[in-house]
Amino acid sequence: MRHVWLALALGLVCSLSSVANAAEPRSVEEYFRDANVALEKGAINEAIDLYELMADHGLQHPDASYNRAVAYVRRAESKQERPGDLGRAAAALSEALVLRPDDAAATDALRLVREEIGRRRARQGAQQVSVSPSLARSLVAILDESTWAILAGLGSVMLTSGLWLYLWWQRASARLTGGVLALLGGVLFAACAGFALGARHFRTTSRPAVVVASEARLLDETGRPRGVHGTSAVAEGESVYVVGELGALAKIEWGTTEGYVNRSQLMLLGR
Amino acid sequence: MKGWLSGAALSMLVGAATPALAQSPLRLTTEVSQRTVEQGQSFQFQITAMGAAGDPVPSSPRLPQPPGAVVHGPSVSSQQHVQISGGTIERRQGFTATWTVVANRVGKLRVGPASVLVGSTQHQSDAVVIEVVPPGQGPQSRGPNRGPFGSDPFDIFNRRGSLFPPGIFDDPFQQDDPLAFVPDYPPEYKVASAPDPVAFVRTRLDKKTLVVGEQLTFAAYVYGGQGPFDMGGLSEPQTADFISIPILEDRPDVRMYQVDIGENVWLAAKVRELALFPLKTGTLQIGSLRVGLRGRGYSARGNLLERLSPPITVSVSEPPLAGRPTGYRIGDVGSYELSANVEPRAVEQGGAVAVAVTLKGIGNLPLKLELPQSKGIEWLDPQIRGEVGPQAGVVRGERHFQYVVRLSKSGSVDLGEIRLPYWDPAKSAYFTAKAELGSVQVKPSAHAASQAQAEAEETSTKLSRALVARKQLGAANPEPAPLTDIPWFWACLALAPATVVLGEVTRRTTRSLRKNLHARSADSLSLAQRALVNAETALEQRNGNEAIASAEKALFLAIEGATGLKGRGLLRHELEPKLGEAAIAPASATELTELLQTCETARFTGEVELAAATEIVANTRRQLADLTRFGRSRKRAKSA
Repeated sequence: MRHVWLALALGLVCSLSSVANAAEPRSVEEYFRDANVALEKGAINEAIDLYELMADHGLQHPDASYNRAVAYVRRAESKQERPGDLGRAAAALSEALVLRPDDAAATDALRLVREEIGRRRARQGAQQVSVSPSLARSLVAILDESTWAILAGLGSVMLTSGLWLYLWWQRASARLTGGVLALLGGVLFAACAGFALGARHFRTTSRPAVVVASEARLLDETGRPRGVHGTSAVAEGESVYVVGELGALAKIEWGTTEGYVNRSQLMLLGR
Repeated sequence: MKGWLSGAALSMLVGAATPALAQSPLRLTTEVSQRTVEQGQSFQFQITAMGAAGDPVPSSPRLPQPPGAVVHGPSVSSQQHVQISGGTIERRQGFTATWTVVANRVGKLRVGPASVLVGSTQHQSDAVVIEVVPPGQGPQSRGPNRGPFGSDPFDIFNRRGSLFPPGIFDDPFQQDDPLAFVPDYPPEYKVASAPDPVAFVRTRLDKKTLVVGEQLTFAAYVYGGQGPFDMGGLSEPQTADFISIPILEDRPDVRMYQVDIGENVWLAAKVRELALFPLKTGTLQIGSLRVGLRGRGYSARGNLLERLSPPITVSVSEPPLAGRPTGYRIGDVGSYELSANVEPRAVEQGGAVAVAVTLKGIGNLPLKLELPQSKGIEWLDPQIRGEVGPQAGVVRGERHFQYVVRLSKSGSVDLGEIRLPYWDPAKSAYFTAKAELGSVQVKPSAHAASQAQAEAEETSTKLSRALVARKQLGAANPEPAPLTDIPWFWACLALAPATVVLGEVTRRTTRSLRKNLHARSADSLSLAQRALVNAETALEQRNGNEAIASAEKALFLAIEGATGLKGRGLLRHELEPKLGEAAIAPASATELTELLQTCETARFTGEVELAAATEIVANTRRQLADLTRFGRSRKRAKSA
């Protein structure tokens, strides 16, 4: 009988010291509320864990991404700082902007975070090289992909109307109007459809990402550092596009530069 | 200040509280156990990183694997130094990290530099060049004790050149009484067939699929089929994607077995056993292990017979996302238990308590714990002790974390709970090891309160002031799928103008076709066909006269359509020659003329018998077909 009690007591101790995972919050609101409580009481790591777990479960919200950036910034400015914290803050803010492109506060915060990264790198004697996207990406990014598509649709309507007037009507004025309309519509249709297709191509073949390591060394496809010519590393917080993967390496496009970096040095931005 | 000094565990912090400190940057020293090693022999590479008190504690030691060598470890131990010289106190804290390096290639081997992180800054140690010589040509100093680092953990043969005690498995040609086969080998040595008739290396994994951080046991066996052999030039497998912890060195009973493979008896020995912990997901490779065999039947003139094990791959994934607890770190896999002790339970505001946490269990126990943070509670970097290593083939052990926790708020302060979520592969479930820390009574102190306020204001920078956490979730309209992803969008864009153009083409074609049809219906041959149809209709209505009249009309129209002759304007005797002139065959011309004559006669005689009318209509149909063919061929010839 004494053995039975002993076994029961042992079982109780084990269940107290090592408890199977309790039910975790499931909705965006629950995660957000719990993470904010942790952030408010100064439990930054716990808050970050909750925001990250939320993202891992595919629950995305621009305000949660924004608060994740706040948590990373607070940790970066505390004694618990970890390398890449500011890069992760930049990634979280970039994600907030992907989810809500007109978020002015996130835009300003992203600028401030990048300035802070630049200041810290300057203190360490490192350069903060920022590059613009390639010309093709810049042109395509002038308007939203759907806007290009709508303009292409408008061009198609103009072209159709112009052809109808030109071909189906006998009156000279109608034919003249139709000819001009068809010409303008054709140009608009061809240009905007091209940009819409380009935007779609970039969207489906590459994914935006942010460097979350102190810097991501540019490598060749064998994993060796690239030559000393040109820029050899991408700084923390910089935006890149991932265009492919090769084992543990990610092929990136950074401005007009292409190269490989370790995948773990990047945070892919979800949509 | 009194609070800082409360408790024996805080005695080491005396220096931190002293204002006049002589601080200098990080001290990083590098040592190696020996400068010359034999190929396949291991040596130790050690760095000691000591940072000044108040600076971030050095962490994350890393040693890149040099080409031609395999690196195991590191084994890390924390250190604290307090030095008093010239009236100043210098306190340093840091660690010593030791790696075991096995050189696999003869020549110069450059090891290092190793790196450590201090805050977010990386520091590098010195690199060391080691001379690697062929087996048997090493320095004389190789004995059981190899210097400050002790004996070589990888030298399982202890430099005897043979695994066996004297007298066992000696050369059978020098023995009068060779050993008889006794099948008492462990099952792990069993092989169904020998891939090589002389010698081979076999590797074995305890699993092929696992999660990041889970233990994978790798074992390598050497088999010789030609009798006793010595081994040398043993190279380690490349395990760059794993943390590697040797298991075999903990087994003093490494020995060779007689193993029956088919009808032959082989000698087999386990030469390596490693606990590998994958560091990342994907298909990871464990490289080849090379071993050289020497002995009669294996090699000539003392050369080594080399054998390689094939590389092996394992599939590594993350533990499932479903049910993953908050705070779970990828790699925390095993079975853990946490316990904690807090002393004292009452301090003055601004003082500190000591928190001793013990983590024990199975697996590669983490070196860092996530601590319950809260405003007014500051956890200083811990001192870590303890041993984690293989026991009966499974890596297990315990770590003791000694924290100093500074309390800058007064009242009953709840320290919270230390939680360590982990994945237990044996139970395929997540668990959380927990240690409740309880509360500490903190007596208020005006000085400490104002100091805490000042510190809080100091840490608030422009950036953290600019980024204010959002309290509520705002509207987040999910972006609709782009129009360009809708399949019919592009079809509509292209089809709209194409439809107009196609419509115009269709319209023009239809107009042209209709014109042609009209013209065709207006020609004589078509009219003749129509008259013939009328004749046949009249026949059906049993109206012979009408049928014959229509047949006659059809014949005249057909002649006009085929030849251009207007037959009605000609006398009967004139018609035949004219038809001949129009290239109608004479027989056909005669038949036509006669048929027309028959029609005329029947018309003038009044009542016509239906049989005669039927015959006339039939003949008319035949003549009409001939004339139509004639007319078409004539038209084609003209257009050609």
